[in-house]
Amino acid sequence: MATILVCDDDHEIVDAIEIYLSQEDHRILKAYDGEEALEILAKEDVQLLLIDLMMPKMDGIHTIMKLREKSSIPILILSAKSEDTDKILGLNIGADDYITKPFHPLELVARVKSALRRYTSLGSLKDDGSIYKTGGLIINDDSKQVTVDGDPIKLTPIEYSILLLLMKNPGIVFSTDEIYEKIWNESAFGAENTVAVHIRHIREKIEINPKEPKYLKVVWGVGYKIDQENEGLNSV
Amino acid sequence: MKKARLTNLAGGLACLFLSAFIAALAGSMIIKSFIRVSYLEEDKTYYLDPMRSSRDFTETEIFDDLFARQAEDVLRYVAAKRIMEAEAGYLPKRQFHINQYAVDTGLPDDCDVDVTFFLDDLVKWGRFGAGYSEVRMSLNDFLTYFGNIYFLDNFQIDGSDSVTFLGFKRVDRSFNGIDPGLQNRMMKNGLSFATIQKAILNYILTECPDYITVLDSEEDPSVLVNVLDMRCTTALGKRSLTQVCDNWVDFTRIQRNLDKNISELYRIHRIYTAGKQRFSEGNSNLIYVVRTDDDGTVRFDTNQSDYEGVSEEGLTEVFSENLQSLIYYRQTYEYSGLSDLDVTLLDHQMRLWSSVVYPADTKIWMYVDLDMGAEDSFRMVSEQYNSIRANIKYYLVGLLIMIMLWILFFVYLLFETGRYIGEDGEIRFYKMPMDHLFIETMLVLAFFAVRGMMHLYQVLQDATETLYVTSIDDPARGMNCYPYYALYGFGVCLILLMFTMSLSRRIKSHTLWTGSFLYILDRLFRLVYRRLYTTRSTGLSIILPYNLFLFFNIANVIFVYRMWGGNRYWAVVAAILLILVDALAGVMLVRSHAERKEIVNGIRRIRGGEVDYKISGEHMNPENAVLAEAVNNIGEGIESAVNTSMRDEKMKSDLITNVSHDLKTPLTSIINYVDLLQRSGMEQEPQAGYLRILADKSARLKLLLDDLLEASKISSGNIELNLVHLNLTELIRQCAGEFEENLAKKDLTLVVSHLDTAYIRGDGRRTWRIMDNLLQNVCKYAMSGTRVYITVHKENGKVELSVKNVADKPFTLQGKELTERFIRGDESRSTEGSGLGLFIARSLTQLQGGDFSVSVDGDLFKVTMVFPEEMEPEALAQSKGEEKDTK
Repeated sequence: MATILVCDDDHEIVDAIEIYLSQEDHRILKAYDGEEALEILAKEDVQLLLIDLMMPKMDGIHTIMKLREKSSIPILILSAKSEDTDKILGLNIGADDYITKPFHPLELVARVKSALRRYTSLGSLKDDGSIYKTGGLIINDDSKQVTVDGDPIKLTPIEYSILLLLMKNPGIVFSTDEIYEKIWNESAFGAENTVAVHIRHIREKIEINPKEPKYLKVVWGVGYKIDQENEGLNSV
Repeated sequence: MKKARLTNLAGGLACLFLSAFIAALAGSMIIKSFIRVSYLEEDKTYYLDPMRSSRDFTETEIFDDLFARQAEDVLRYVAAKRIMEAEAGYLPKRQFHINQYAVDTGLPDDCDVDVTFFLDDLVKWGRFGAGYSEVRMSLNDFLTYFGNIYFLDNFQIDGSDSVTFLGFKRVDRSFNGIDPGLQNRMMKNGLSFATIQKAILNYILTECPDYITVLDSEEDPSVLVNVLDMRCTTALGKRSLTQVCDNWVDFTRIQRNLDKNISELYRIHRIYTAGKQRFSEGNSNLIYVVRTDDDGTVRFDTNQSDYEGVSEEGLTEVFSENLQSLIYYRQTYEYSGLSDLDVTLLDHQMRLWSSVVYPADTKIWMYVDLDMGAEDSFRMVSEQYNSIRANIKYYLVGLLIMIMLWILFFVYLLFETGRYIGEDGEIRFYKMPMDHLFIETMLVLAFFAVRGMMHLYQVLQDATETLYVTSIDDPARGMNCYPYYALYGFGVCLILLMFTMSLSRRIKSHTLWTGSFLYILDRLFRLVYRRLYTTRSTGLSIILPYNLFLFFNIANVIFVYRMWGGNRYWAVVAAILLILVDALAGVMLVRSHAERKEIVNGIRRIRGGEVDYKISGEHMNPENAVLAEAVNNIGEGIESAVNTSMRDEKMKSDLITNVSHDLKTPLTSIINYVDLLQRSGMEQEPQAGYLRILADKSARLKLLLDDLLEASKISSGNIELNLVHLNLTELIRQCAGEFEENLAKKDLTLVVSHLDTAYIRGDGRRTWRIMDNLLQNVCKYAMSGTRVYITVHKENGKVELSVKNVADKPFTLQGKELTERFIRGDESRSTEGSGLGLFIARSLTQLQGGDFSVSVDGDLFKVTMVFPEEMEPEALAQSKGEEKDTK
């Protein structure tokens, strides 16, 4: 289906990734350091790059910077470094996603899929007043349909209303009380954690990893928000 | 440097020579302002103060004094003239009656014999003075020298032991032995010859106490007689006074009168001759007329022949026309005149002479001829005075100019000395050999020099006053005095220059203090003081100074007490010293106390965490300085310990971070391959069970690694907080939502109670992490079917957040231990979780400025966090109901 270059100095990890992605009908190319990866990228038509940061000869950061000079393929970083600063650095130099080791194989597969979907279907969406979109998450208010990376998502009416409210106002933080008042149309008194529970359910349905949400963000102590387009990945 | 020295030398020489000139000029002023005037019987030196020469000469006290003394001299001269001159003037061969003159001049008229000399001889004799020879005689020879006196007529004999000599009534040169009448009487009364002799001797000694001394010895009584050496014969040619006398009484009396005459006459003769020259017509500016009337014997003396024969009224009229005149009638005490003369002086002078010379009816007329036609002392002093008066301003201007010049040079030297411009253009300083002396030595030397100079000045002035003012006519008058004045000025200036220049050089090279003896004393004192304080023995450092102080006080009090009655001056000095020393001790105590406070303050600050705080101990006394140093050292020790511990913690954190990164890579492979194995269709037991265990444990390992990283990051302080205005109530609501299902799974009911919206200042994600950890713990360890309470409580500006639950197993550890790393309640390490949850929660709470406490009460487990409350932001209140969306 797609050609994916996996680059990591740990052979076993590369092999394991190959197994998982091959099951999704992807062609896998393997590299064990940055220089090798650049050589392969120069020769082959690669649609996606999975790359480790700490590697011999040329590390991941330099490789990505070199690659970004001429290519715009999706890049996913695989790294043992889990600090916020590492993530921000990786995303800032042009990576599309950051997956920390140790990762669950299914999460990896899901993220690869999401990245590929977005890359290939870019620009195919017709712009409509009733369609709201952020990243791979699209909500069509006409058909009341929600898709994530093309996959339709089933939401309850309340969940849909909440998501729609947030999607219509990207970047704006809504407190639980505000959400409650807008959706239920009554005073929030005694609402307690109703909204929070619904949000959690929405997250579980639309996010690959609900604990590190990509679309529906929790602003602790303030409320919830959907990030504006393009900044979705940058703010972790 | 050489050039600078030469300039300085030149300046110095200029200064010295100027001083010499100044001194010589001043000296000349001094010399000229002294003038000596000789009077008939004495000389007097007048000081014509140049600074007070504005008045006319006749208005000065000097003129008055001159007039008075000259007037006295006139009276002296007139008297001498009257004694020396007979009607025909001065006759050297005039016969002079000794007794008569003696009686005239006040001696008792008790001499029975008289003798005459030629006036000439007496005056000559007086010039040499009266000389005496001692003649020794046996008592008998003495008594019978003038002839036999042992006649009964001469004695009065009453009874056996009373013999009185009645006088030389009968003296017989031809008779020897004792008159028989007397002998009979002696026999009759039993009188010895010696008794008779004694009676005679007693009479002689009573009558004439002078000239005769009795040498009283038992065997050979003898008599010493002082006999006047005759330098001339009497007018009758007698060579000895014994030739005109016939007893000792007359002899001693005539001898006494003669002695008096010869000295008096010589003096009078001198007055006479000098006065005659001085007051004769045309030689004196003082014109006088003396008229006496002694019972009809009228005598008239004047040095202005025009006035002879003029009537008294005429004289008075003429004399009173003059400005400086005096008219005195002795008998009636009538006085008139324009001068300020004290007339009692004249009266006194007249009384010194016999009434023969100045009888009661004496009239005096005098005036000073202000034309000063005669060359006398009036003219001399007046000329000198006027000369000073005319020239004083030139002298002063000259002096002023020279003094100004001198000051100019002096100030120049003061600035320039000891300084030179080096070859590199820099100003440098040099010192002279004498600058290495102690400044105190210099001071002492300077003191003695000043004393010496003052003494020298006195000598110089005395010399000027006495030696160099002899005569106004001397053209070289005072000239030989100038070099001494110049030398004196030179010397004074030299000493002044040496001292001030040395002082200036010392100040410039900053060695004034270090080059002094006091400095060395000070250093010594400080050394002893330091030694005393730093010695280990308490006896030396405390007891010795204390005892010294005590002793000094007691001794001083006793001293003051004892001295108070006596030498008050020393008592006051001692009392002041006592007060000073006591005040010093007090100041030292106060200072020491203040320094201690400073040290205590330093200790307090170091204890409070300011480990790099330093107490500055330089100004303290040595003991406290040592203490301050020690405290500083402790501070440094703590500081280095803290730094080491922080570095260690950082290293530990780095190590943990690196190790976890290294662990994560193999863990990734494990997780992946376990998953692959599970997918490979291995479903038969027990292998499938083994795989499940592997999957669980690897997942737990991942969690452990994450918690470990976080915990180490927090404990090493390697974490950045994003502090915002945080709605705690909203956060708890969100958390409750997140955990609803997990809690429901364990059949736990969450009860959230909060009165109001509470705000704190905190990091949302970290606070979530705290609640996440706590609620995960709840999910793990709370007893199923119980309620979990989350409470928010505001009080006194604090927000208290507590989480309570009932544990499913009893606790074996206490609250505090629960939060320590890797410790969890009970042995349940087998369940999921890292054991770091509470630690992380506590650390994050504290990082956000909150308090975190865990309490265990039976099975009740309670976590309490207290944060400072923040005000509710008005900006946060968003308008509600602006957008209403329904599905």
